[in-house]
Amino acid sequence: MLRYLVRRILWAVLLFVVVTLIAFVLFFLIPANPAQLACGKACTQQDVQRVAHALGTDRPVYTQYGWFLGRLMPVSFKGGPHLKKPNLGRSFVNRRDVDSVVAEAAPVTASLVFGAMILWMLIALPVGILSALRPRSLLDRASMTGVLIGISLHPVFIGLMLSFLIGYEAHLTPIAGYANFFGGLYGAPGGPIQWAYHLILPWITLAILNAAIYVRMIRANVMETMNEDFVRTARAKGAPEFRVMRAHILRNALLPIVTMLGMDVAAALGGAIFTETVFGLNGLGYNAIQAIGNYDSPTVMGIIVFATTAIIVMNLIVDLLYAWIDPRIRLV
Amino acid sequence: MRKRLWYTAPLSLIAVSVLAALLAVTASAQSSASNASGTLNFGSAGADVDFTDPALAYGVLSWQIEYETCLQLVNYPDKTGAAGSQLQPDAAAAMPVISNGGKTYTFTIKKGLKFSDGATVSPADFVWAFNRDANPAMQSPVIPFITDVVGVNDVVNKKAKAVTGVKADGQKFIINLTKPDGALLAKLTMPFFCAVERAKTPIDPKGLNTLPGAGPYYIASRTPGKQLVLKKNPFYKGDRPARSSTMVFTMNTNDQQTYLQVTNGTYAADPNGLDVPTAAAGLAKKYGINKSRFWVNSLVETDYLALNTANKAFGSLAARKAANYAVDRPAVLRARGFEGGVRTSTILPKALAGGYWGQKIYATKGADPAKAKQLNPNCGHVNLWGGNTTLAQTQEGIVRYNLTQAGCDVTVKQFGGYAIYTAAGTKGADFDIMFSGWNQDYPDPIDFFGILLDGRNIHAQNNNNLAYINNAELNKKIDQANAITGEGRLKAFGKLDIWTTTHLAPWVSIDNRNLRDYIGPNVAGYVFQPAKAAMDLGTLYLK
Amino acid sequence: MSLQEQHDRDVAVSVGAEAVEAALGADLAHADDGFVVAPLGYWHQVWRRFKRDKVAIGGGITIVFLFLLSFVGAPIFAKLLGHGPDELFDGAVTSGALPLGPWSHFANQPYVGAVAPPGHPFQQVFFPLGSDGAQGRDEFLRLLYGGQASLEVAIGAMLVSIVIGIIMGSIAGYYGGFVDLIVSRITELVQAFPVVLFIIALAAVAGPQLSSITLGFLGKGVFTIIVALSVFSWFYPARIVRAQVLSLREKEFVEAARMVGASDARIIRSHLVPHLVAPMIVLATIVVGQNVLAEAGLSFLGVGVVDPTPSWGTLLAQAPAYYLEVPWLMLWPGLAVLITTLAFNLLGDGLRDAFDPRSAR
Repeated sequence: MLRYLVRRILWAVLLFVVVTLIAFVLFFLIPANPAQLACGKACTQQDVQRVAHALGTDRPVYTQYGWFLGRLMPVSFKGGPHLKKPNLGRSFVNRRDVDSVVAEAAPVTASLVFGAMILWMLIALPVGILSALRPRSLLDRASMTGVLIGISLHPVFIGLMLSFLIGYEAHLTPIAGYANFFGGLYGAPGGPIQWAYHLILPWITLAILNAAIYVRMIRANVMETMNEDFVRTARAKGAPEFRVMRAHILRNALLPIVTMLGMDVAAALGGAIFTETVFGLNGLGYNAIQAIGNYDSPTVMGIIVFATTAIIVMNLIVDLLYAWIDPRIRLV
Repeated sequence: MRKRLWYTAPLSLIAVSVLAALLAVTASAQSSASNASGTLNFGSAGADVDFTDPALAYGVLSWQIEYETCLQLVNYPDKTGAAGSQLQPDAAAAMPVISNGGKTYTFTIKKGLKFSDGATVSPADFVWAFNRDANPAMQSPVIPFITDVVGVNDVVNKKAKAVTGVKADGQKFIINLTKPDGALLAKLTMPFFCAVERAKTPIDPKGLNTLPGAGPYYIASRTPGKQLVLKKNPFYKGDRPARSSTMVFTMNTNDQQTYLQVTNGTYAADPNGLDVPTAAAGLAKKYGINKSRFWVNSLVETDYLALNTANKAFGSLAARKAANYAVDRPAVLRARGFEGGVRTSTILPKALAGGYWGQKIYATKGADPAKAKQLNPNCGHVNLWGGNTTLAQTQEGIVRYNLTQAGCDVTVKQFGGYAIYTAAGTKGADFDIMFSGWNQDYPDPIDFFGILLDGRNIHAQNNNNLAYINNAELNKKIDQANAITGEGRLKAFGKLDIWTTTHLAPWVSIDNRNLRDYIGPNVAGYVFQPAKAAMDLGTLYLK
Repeated sequence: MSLQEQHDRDVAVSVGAEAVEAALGADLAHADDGFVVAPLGYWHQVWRRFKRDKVAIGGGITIVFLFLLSFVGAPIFAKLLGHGPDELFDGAVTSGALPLGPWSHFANQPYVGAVAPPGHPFQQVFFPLGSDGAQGRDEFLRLLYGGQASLEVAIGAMLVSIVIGIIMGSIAGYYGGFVDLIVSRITELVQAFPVVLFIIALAAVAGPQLSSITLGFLGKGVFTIIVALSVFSWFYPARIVRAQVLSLREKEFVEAARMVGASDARIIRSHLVPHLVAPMIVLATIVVGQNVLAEAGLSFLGVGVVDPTPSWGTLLAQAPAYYLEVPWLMLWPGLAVLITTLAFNLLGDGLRDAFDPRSAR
C-alpha cells in the first residue's frame, strides 16, 4: 500500500512536470508578444523591448520554465538555501499575483461544479435505473429523447433562456451574478443562502448537460450488471428483488460511475467555461479564457497548474476509494 | 463497511431536499436589489479596469473611472458636444503660461484643493506623478508619451532618480520640454498626470488598488475582477458634478444578462456602453435616440482596412482606390448592429477633421464592384487578415465577398486577441489588407497621423503604420500641420486628410464608431463626455 | 458546450465504453462458443436480431437520409433557390440590422434603400428559413451545407480516434509487459491534461496553419477539430481494445495459431481484430453523436470551422446573440444536432442489443 502510494505520487509529479512543460512551450510558441500588450498601443520598438526585458519574455523558453518551476518550489537557493512560499508568479496584464487569482476563482468554480454534480446525480440515478429496468419502454425512450434534447441545445442558450424566463420574467431567481458564501462584497448580497440562491440557475444549466450523459451511462451499467452470473445466482437463491437490486446490481453497476464522477469533477474544476460566462461567475474557466485571449501566460499557467493538480489528485483519490470499496482490486 | 456507500445516497438525498426547502424559503423572501438612495450600481459586461493606479491605468473604462477620481492640471469639462472637447484649467488656476519657444509650460496651482483623506494638494503632487510614471520599477505605459520631457529618458534608463524637467516652485508647477509639443496639454488630461499624494502612493510595481483621490470621487475599495466602489470625495470643493454619493461597479458580468438587468433597473447602466448590438433597433424604437434611455454618440475613432502599400496587391494607387470602391461599407458597418457607427471614407473622425469630415470621396452607400474592376482589372491574390470574434468573422466574410466580386482571389487569415498586431506590426508582414481601428488617446489629429501614417516611424517591429506608407510629401505635410497651434490646427489636418485619402488612399476607411448607451428606468442625468469617449459617471443620478 | 463539458462527454463515452467493454467481454465469450462451432451463425444472429429492432433501423435510415441531404441535397437546393450558402444579400437584413425571419421573399438590391430603374425591378430572392445573421446569408442552405462539415468532423474524429485506439490498445494488450506499461502511461498522461485549455491554446498556436489543411475534400477548420478531438479521445477505444486483447490472447485459438508459427501481425490481424469489431462499432455510433456536439462547443470558442464554411456548430454558436429577437436561429441547428445524435444513439443501442444475445430479451 505504502509502496503503491509512493509510486503513484512520484508518477503524479512526473505527470505534472510533463503537462506544465507542454503547456509552457505551447504558450511560448504563440506568435504574440505579451510585452506589446503590456506596453500599450503607442509604444515603439524600444519601449516594447524594455517591457519585454522587465517581464522576462525576452529570455529563452527553458529559462522561463526554470523560473516557473523555481517559483513553485518551497525552497530557494538564492542567497543560501532557505524555505519560501511557493507562488505562481504575476500576471503580465494586470500584474495581480496569480496565487490570488486562482484562490479567488477556485471557490466559485467549486461551488458551481459540486452543486451541479449533486443535482445531476439526483436526476440521473433514478432515471437511469428505471430506464435500465424497463429497457425500450416508453419511459426509456422518453428519458433518452429528453436527455438528447437537453444536450442538443447550446448551454449558452439554455443559460440565457433560464435567466430570461425564471430570473427576468418570473422573478424567481437572480438573473445572474455570484454571492460569496462568507460575507458579500460592498453592498452585494452574501452568506450561504444568497450563495445557493444565486447558483440555482447555473447549477441547473450545468446539470442538464451532465445528467444526460449520466442517465445513459447508469442505464448501460445497470443493464450489464443485471445479466451477470452472480445476479442470477442471487435471484436463484431466492433473494428478494429489492435486495438483489441494492446489494448486487447497483453496487457493482455504480462502481465505474464513481471513477467517472471523480474524473468529471476534476475536469470541470478546470473550468465550466460556458456556464461561468453566461452567468457572470468569475471562476477558473472564465479567468482562463480571458487570460488566453490576452496571452497572459502566468495566469494561464496558474490555472493549468490548479486544473492538472485537481485531475491528478482526484484520480488518486478515486483509485484509493475504488480499492477500498471493491476488495477484488489490489493496489500493487 | 461495504454497505456504507449505499447509505450515503439517501443521506445526500435528504441533504439536498433540505437545501431545496431552504431555497424555496429564500425565493419568497428575496430582497430587491440594494438601491439605497444615492447609490448607482453598474454592471460592466466582460470587462474590469486594468488598473486603478493612475500611473498604470490605460483603457477606456479605467480612464472613465479615473476621470471621476483624478484632479488634473487641465481637463475636459463634464459636458457633451464641442464644449466637452474644450480644454479648461482644473487644478490650475488658469491655462499655463507657455514660454521658451513652446518648450516651457508654467501652471499656477489653485490653493485649498484637497485629497479625499484631507491632505492638501500641492504642486509637488504633480511632480511626484511624473516621477512615479517614469520610475523604471513601475513600467508605466505612459513612457512613449513623455519622452520629450527633459530628464524622463534618464530616469527610464536608470541614470537618474528624478525627472529634472518637472519642478514645483511655490504654487507653480513647471514642465520643460526638449522640443515644442502642440499636443502637450491634450496629453496632460490623461490620468497618468493626475495629482497623487506622495505619502500614500509608494512605488509599487503591482499598482495600488486604492489611493486617495483629489477629484469629485475617490476609490473606496476594489476587488480585482469583481468589484470597484467609488465614493464622493468629502473634501472636494471644485465645480465638477458628483450627483450620486456612491457608485458600485460589478465587473465581468455577462453582456446579455447585464442588458436584462439594466432593463429591470438592477443596474443603472453598463459603463462600457450597450454590449448587445441586436437590441439597439428595438431600444431606439421604444425610447427614441438621445431622449430618455437609449443614447447614441460618435466616438473619436475610425475603423478601417489598412492596405499594405509595401506588398504587391495594393502597391499601386489604382488598386487601393479600387479596394475603396469594392468594399460595401454599410454592410460591414451593419455587422455592428443598429446605429453601430457612421460610415466614412476619410481618416479623421468628425471631431478632429476641422469641418472636412463627411466628404464622400469614395462610395459609402454600398459596393461598386464594376468601378473597382475598371480601376484594377487584374486584382489577383489578396491576403486578408482579421480577428476571430463573431463580429470580426462576419466583417471578414463581407469584405472577402466584396473583393471576390471585384475580381480578387481572397485568402482570409484570422488571429485571436492582439496577436494580429504583433504579426502585422512586423515589417514585411504578409498581409495585403487587414482590419484595424484606432481610438484616440487624446483628442488631437496628430494621434492619428503621427502614429498611423508617418512613414518615418516604421521600424522592424511594433509598427502602428499598418499601411506601411512612407511618402515624403505626406511626412512633410504632417510636420507642417503639426506646427500649427490653435484655431487652424484641425483645419490643416482636415485638409491633409482629404489630400491623403484622394492621392494616397492608404486605407479603406469604414466607419467612425458610435457609443450606444442604455440606462436604467430610474436613472437620469446622462451626459456623453466626448474626450473620454464614454458616459460621464458623475452626472448620473437616481430619479 | 464547453470543452470541459465536452470532456465530460468523452469520459461518458469512456465509461459507457467500459460498460460496453464489460458487456462485450462476457459477450464475446459467448460469441467464441458460437464462433468455434458455426462461424457464420454469430453474424447471422446479429443481423436477425438487428432486423427485428425497428427503432434502430429507423435510426440507420435517418442517418443515411441526413448524409444524402447534406452532400447531395444541398447543391440541389442551392440550384433550385438560385443562390449559394455563402452569398450575402443586403436585402436579407432588416433596417435594424437583424436577420429576416423564416419564409422571406425580398428584392436583391445592391444596397439598402436602392431604387430599381423603372421597368427593371430587382430580382426576387427566397430564403425558406430566413437569413443567418447580420451578413444576410440563407440559413436553410447553410444548415444543409453545414451538415457536411459537422458530419465530416463527427465521422473523421471517430475514425481517427478508433484507429489510433485499436493500434495502441492491441499492441499494449498483445505484447503486454513493458510495451503495455508505456502505452498505459501515455494514456494516463493524456488523461491528466486540462483538455479545454489545451485545445484553445493549441488552436491559438497552430489554428491558422491547421485550418488551411483540407486534404482536398474537408471543410476549412474541420481538420483542426478532428485533430483536437482525436488527440484527447483515442485512449477510450485503446482501453477497451487492450482489455479485450488481454483476455483473448490467452484463448485456445490464439495459442493454436501461435503454435503453428503465425506471425504476431497475422495473429493480431486475423484472430484478434475480428473480435474487436463488435465493441468498436457500438463505440463508434456513440462517439459520432458526441462529436457532433463537440464541434458545436469548439466553434463557440472560436476553435471550430472557419467562416464562410458553414457548420451546425457555427450556426449554433451565432444564435445566442439573437436569443431575444430571433430565437428560431437556435431552433434549426439545434434540431439538426438533435436528430443526428438521436439517430446515432438509437442505432448504437440497436447494434449493442444485436451484438449482445443476452440483452435481446
